[in-house]
Amino acid sequence: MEQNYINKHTLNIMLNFAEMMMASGAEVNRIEDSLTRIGLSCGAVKMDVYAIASNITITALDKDGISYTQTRRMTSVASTDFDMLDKLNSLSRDKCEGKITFEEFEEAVSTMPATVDSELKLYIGSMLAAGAFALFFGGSVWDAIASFFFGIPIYFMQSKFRSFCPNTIIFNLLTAFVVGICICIVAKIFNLNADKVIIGDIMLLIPGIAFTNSIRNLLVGDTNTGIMRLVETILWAAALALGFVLSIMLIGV
Amino acid sequence: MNQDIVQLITGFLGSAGFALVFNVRLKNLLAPSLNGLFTTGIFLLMFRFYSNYFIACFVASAFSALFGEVLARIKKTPASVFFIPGVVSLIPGGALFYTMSYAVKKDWINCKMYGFLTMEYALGIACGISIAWALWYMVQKMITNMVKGSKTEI
Repeated sequence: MEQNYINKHTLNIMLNFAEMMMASGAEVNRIEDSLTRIGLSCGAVKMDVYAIASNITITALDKDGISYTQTRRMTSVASTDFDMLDKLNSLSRDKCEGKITFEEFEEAVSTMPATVDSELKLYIGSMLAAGAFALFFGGSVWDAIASFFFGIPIYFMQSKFRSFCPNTIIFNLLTAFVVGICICIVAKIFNLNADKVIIGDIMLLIPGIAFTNSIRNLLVGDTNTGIMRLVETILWAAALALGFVLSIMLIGV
Repeated sequence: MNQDIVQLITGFLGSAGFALVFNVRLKNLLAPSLNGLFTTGIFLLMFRFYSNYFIACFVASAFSALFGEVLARIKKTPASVFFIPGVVSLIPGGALFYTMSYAVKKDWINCKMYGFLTMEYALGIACGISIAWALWYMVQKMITNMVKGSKTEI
C-alpha cells in the first residue's frame, strides 16, 4: 500500500539517503533531484531541496499545509563508489515508481551493505591505472612497471591510513612525501625517470575528477559547490605536489 | 605515431583501472574502458587537425559525455559509471604536477605556462561536457514532446 505522509521521521530517512549518495560520489543536482522526487512520491505537495558539498537543507510541504524543515551537515570525504551509487539510484527509482513502500525504502537505506566485494579489485585497479598513465604521459616501460607497483602502497595508504587523518590536505602531503621518497630511491637505484613514475602515481591521488566536476558545477549554476570544490582541489593538488617535490629535493634525483 | 598507439592502449587500460578503483561492477567494466579508448582517440585526432588543446579536449569530452548518456539509457545505470572513468585520460595530471613543481622551485615562467595549459585542459573538458549535456537534454525533451503530441493526435 502506498503511504502518503510527510513527517520528521520521513525527512530524516531521506537525509540519510542523501548522505549515502553524497558519500558514493553523486553530484549535488542529482541529489536535489532524487530527494524532490522521493518527497513528492511520499505525498508532499511541494519540495524545496538545497544541497551544497557540505550541507543539505530540505523543506517539505504536506497536503495539510504544514511544512517540515531539516538540515544535515555533510562531513564525509567524498569518495567514488559507482556500485553503491547504482544501487541507491535504483532504490530511488523503485520508490518513485511506487514499487516499494516507504517502510521498505527505510529498511533498504538502513541495511544497505558495503558493496566492495574484494579489496583485490581496488588494488588491481590502482596498479593498472598507475602503470598505464606512466606510459601515457611519456614514460618508458620500466617507469610504467615501477609506477605499477607503487600503486600498492598508494591504495594501502588510501584505504588504511585515511581514516586516521581526517584532514585531506595533510593526508595528501604525507602520502605524497612517503611515496615520493620511495619512488626517488627506486628511481635512483634503477636509473628511472622519477617524474614520469610520479606522474603515473599522482593520477591516483590527484583530484582531477573533483577539479573537472567543480568547473562543471560552476558552469551549470551550482556556484557554491563549484567554488568550494575548486578551492579544495587546488589546495589538495598543491599539497600533493609539495609532498612529491619535497621528497625529490630531499633525495635529490 | 608510435606514441599515439601507446596512448590509445594506455587510455583503455587506464580507464579500466579507474573503473575498478571506482568499484564499477565487473559486468559493466568493458564499456567505460572502451569510452577511454575512443575519448583518447578523438583527442589525438582533433589535436592533429587543430593543434589546440582546448578544442581537442572539448570535442573528446563532449563525445565521452554523450557516450555515457546513451549507454546509461541502454543499461539503466547512472551515466557517470560510463563517463567518469572514460574521461580520466583527458585529465591534465602531468601538467598539474609540473605547474606545482615549478611553483615550488620558483620557476615562474614555466609555472605560468603549465598553469595555463592545465586551465586550458580543464576548461575544455568542462565546456565539452556541459554543452553535450545541454544539447542531450534538449533533444530528449523534444523527442518526448513529439511522442506525446503524436499520441494525442491518435
